[in-house]
Amino acid sequence: MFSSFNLNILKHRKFTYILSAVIIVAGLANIGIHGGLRMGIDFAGGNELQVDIKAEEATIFEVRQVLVDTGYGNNVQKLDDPVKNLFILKTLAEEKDNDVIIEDITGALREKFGERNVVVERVDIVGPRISTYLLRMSYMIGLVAILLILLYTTFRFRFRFGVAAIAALIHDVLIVLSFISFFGKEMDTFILAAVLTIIGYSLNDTIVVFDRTRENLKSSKAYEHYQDTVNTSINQSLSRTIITSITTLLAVIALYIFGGNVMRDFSFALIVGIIAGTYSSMFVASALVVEWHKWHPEKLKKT
Amino acid sequence: MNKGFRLLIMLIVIGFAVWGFYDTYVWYFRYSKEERALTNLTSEELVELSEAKRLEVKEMKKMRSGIINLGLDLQGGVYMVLEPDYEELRKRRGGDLTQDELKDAMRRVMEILRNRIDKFGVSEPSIRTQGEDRIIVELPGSKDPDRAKTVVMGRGLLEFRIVDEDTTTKLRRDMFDDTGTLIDSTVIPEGSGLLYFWQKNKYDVLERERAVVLYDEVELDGSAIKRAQVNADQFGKPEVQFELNTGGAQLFSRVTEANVGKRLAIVLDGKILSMPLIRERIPGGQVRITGDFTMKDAQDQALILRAGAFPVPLQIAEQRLVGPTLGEDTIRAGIRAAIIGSLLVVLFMIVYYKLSGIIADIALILNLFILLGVLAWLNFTLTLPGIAGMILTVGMAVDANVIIFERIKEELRSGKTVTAAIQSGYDKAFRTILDANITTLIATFVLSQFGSGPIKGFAVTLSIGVVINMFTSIFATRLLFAIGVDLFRVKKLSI
Repeated sequence: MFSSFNLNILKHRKFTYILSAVIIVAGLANIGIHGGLRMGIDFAGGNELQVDIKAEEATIFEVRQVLVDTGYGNNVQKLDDPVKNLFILKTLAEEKDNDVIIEDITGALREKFGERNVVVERVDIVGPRISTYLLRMSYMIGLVAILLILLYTTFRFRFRFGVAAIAALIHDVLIVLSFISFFGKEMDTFILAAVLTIIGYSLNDTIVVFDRTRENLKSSKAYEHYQDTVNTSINQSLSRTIITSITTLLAVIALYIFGGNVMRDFSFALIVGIIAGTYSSMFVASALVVEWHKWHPEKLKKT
Repeated sequence: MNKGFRLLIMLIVIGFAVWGFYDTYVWYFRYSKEERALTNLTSEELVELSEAKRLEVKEMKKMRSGIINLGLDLQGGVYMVLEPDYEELRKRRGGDLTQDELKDAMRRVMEILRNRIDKFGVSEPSIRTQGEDRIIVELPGSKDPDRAKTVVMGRGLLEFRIVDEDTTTKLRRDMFDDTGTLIDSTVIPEGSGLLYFWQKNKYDVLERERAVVLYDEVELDGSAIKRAQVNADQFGKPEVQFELNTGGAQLFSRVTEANVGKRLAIVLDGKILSMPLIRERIPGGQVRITGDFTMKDAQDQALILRAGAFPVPLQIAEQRLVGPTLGEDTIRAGIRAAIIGSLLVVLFMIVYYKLSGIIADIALILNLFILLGVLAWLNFTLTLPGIAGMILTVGMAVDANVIIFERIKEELRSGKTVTAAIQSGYDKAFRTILDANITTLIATFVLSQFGSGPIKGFAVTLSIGVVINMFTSIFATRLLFAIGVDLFRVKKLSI
């Protein structure tokens, strides 16, 4: 199928720069309009109650009315489930006594729909102190990951390769965050885990291409045709890049479809990230190495 | 290294995985749910079993320390981060607390928590402190997480107070608003306070049943209790029975003598549980609380009373409560996703790489198997994100083989023989694979520093998976190629 390629991938890099820029600018604008990413309760704090209401007549309007009557807001969401009648009720977190809020709400639900008809499936309480702590921790973890990776790539390749690789993975993270914002999903610790996994995956793709580039750049003839050599390297690793993306996507799509509600947003972020990572290893990382060479030619290293 | 030696290493690793995973297999597939539940019994309940049965349970408990456990999200349970609220203590002391007082309060809280949870009976309870004043409590597998929460969070503050009958009889319904709050608080005289008598409604939810005025003076508190247990009264209704210590018994005798004809309110955590009429002096220090509660409630109350009261109230800073039904759904979904995902990847590899694809698939299955063995050996707690980590491992595990196979194809195209192509394919791919896997490891390592909880589970399974992958996809597949090429005298590689 993909036995050998000879595509002039880098020829179209002006177009792909524009494509990436459009998505990212639109994403950032979308995030900006909404006053930042929508934060889930992990980072914003709050109480979340997931209930299965077995009474058939229970609609989202009625459940919302029950919540409104308790005086804790009106944030109710109906989950898509083939068997159960699932609702998620959210309230803001207080400094204290969040468990009392939850008790009040479950009590009100039971009174309305009957004791046996209300099954509490999940209660998440994240107080304000914990959420600030988690948020601070997340920034730190992202920063440390990027620093370590810059160190590693600079050590393994040349500095400019390291910078190009980092640019590619920041590109991927921004694309993922943009899509999270486009689809109105919430940022939580699961998405954070997905983003960090994507950082690892994206870099993995980039490094496979860079390894080939470095190998090919050893002869002075290849060096004179820098762009062609990089292009050849992309082609040589293209079949691997595509196949690995397919197998990883197969696994993650299975997780998206069959993994249940909890894993849906997480696997969504992974799907976007894997596609972005594959794309960026060619159109961002390799392309930037070529740009950098045109701007400031790299000296041929005698090895 | 010759082939025989490499084969030996392979077999040892597989043997290790079988050995590691065997107990987990027995635990989940040979034992019934009821047998597994035996290990959750408290020591008091164990006494009631026969000697042989007790030994069996002991063996099972030992076995349990070497298997893969299911996390909270997969079997239901509660995870709580608690913070002591010193405000009340500060008010009582009338000023700031010294470092020693804070430490002491914290130590006492931990001790009481341990006492209560030990007797509660869940599979693998865990209580630990984080930083200076955060307590993390994990109670996986508790069938009724709500009840577990009551036992953990109940303040355990018991008070005996005399009912202010004069004021109580003056209370009328129209003095309260819709929520049951007193509109004009001046009705209550100085030295008395309004509390509520609580009873379970038909939905089994505790509700304020009626308002009662009590004298503020606490005649006796929980510190006077020596023992607390649950009995059935003459009508078979459960009652909490306690025995007071010597000082308490004397005091109780005096209080009852002075208040004959009045009602004595027994107040737990600000809720009136029972208000018996004092007919005569009660010597001997035997007290019973009867009320409209179930056996379980009575047991929980006795448990809380036995363990004592927290010196400070606890506040929930974070809580993750998963009901057992959600846990079952979650694990079913997780396993289904893992099986379907793996099957898709396995099929794809066979379709694309034919016989060589089968070799990669064998490596993939080996990878999963060794991963399970290692996780069991580590007594790892598997969560849904952990399963997600495994699924991602499956998707990425074949990557190394893809890199190798593509290299071998290139070498074959350049006219090399099968053996030579395999040789140089592996050699050239090795560095790339190493680099690519290290980057994943860097990301997962950083991720695993993210405190505890599910994210850590994801990071750990993924990183162990990646390391095992280096072994199976390079070492194991190469051995399989070597054996295959020899055995079938391959002239043309199916790749």
